[in-house]
Parts: sequence; C-alpha cells; structure tokens
Amino acid sequence: MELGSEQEENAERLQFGALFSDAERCQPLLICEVAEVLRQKRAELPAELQSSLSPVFTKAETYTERFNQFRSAEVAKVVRARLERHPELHPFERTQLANLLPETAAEAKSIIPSLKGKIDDDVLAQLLHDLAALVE
Amino acid sequence: MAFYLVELTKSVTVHPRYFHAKLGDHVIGRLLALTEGTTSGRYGYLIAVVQVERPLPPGRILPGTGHAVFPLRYKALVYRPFLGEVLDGVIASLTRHGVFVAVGPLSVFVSARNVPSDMEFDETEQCFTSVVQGSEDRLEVGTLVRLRIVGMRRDATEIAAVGTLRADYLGVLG
Repeated sequence: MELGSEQEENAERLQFGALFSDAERCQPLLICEVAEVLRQKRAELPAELQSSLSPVFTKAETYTERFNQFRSAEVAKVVRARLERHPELHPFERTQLANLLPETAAEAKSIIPSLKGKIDDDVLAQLLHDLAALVE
Repeated sequence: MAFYLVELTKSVTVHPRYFHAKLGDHVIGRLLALTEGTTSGRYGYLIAVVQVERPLPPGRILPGTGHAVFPLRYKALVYRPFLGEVLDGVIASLTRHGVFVAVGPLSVFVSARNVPSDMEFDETEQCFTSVVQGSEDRLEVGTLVRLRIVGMRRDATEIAAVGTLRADYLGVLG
C-alpha cells in the first residue's frame, strides 16, 4: 500500500518521504541520545511492568548498548553541539557521522555519498577527528 | 542505524465505563498499548511513546455505542530504515546462501553473492572465511558488520530488507 503512492526514498540522495523530511515533525537522534531515552523510559516503569516491554523495545535497547560509543549523556550533548556547528550538513548526515564514526574524509564520503561536493575534506577530517576524541 | 523522534497522531476509542476521574490516565494507557512495539511500513518500528500533547483534546461521543474518540497527538521514538542507508549490525544466523544481520528489531538478509569478495563459505566450519592469506576475518554468529541496505519491502505491518557487505568500508567491523 505504501510503495508507489509515496515519493521515492533513497538515503544516498537524502530522499526520506514526506513525514521524515519534515524538520518540524521529525528529528533524527544519535545512538547515544536514544540510549538515554530508553534508560529513562525503563527507569520510569514500576518493577512489575519491566518484563512487559515489547520485543521492539528490548531489541533497540540491546542495539544501543552495543553500538553506543559515547558513554554518558554529557558527552552526547558535546557531540550534538559539535555537529550543530555544521548547518550545511543535512540532519541525517550529521547523525550518520556520529553513529558510524568513519576514520577519514574518504571513508565518510563513501558510506554517506551525499556528502560529496558539500563539505571540504579538510573540514570534514577535523570534524571526524573531534568526534573520535570524544569516544570512550 | 537511524532513530527518529516523530510527531504522530492516533485516535483512541474509550468505553463509557472509563468516563470517571481517571479517564486521562486510561486514554494514555490505551495509546501506549495500541502503539508501542508495533511495526508499520510508514513510520517503522515504534519503540516508545515519549510524550503526549497536553491538555488532552476533548473526546467525541460516537453515536449508537456511547464510546468516545480522542484524537491524540504524541511524540514517539521510532527506528526507520531507508534504502541506501549504511548501518551496523550483528550476525544472528547464517547458511551457505547468506547471513541474517540483526539491526535492532530489523533483520537484514545478505546473500552469499553480497558478502565481501574475498570470502567463501567454509563447509567444515559452517561460516564464511576469508581466502586472503593471513586474514582472520570471518562471518559467524555474533560478528559485528557494517552493511548498506540495497532493497526493502514495506507493507502495513512489516519491513523486510536485503543488504550488501561488498563495497569499500563495508564488511566485518574491526
């Protein structure tokens, strides 16, 4: 039902469909920020309801624990602030940079092709270097 | 893996027996029960409702049944994969035909034609091993990999994806 009726989606060309392109209604989160949201959600739940969390929730929780590279909520804020200094980048590109942490500008432009022609390699390398320094 | 905070709406129907002082709590409880943990082709995996817009809108009585409908606006944490996206995952199972990679709630199939070009299925070990001398890379259950989504099928309540490990900077995570 969804296919065909919606505009084409392709992350390599930053096409995300109507809902996920609407910055008013939708914002991408970093894995470290998601980990914090899930921690809070679990903390708010009374003990007897802990086991009622859905498989979708627990799988996302396991995933963020395994792939979260910035260990505290404070560091997550620093990462976010560093990314915000690049308003020329799409929110999805910023999120991908912090989640995947490519080591070089060439690697970043290979796994996030939309970065090509948008940001100088030197500037990008500096951003990647700053992000890597925050990894614990 | 891309998570999003999205604003969504949902009409929640409530039986008249709940029309009492705790009506608001019941309406929100119904919303959580109806949405959390669900999958939709449009907004992906709904992990958790994080905020419900207050004040709650007034309910509208349905003629005939006496039930009330509340059109709620809420913010939810969702995980929504997109075609072309690069993401990290864990190998959950494998056969000679390919590997299944778990990316949170999403399962991505990588066929044997799309594993890294230097890897072959090893019949004795029942996993993919590198044919390059000195390379220790293997694809087995529990291996962390980086893949790109190259195909996706979305319908009302399900998302299926196929991926590739065969490109620069993809494959076994070091």
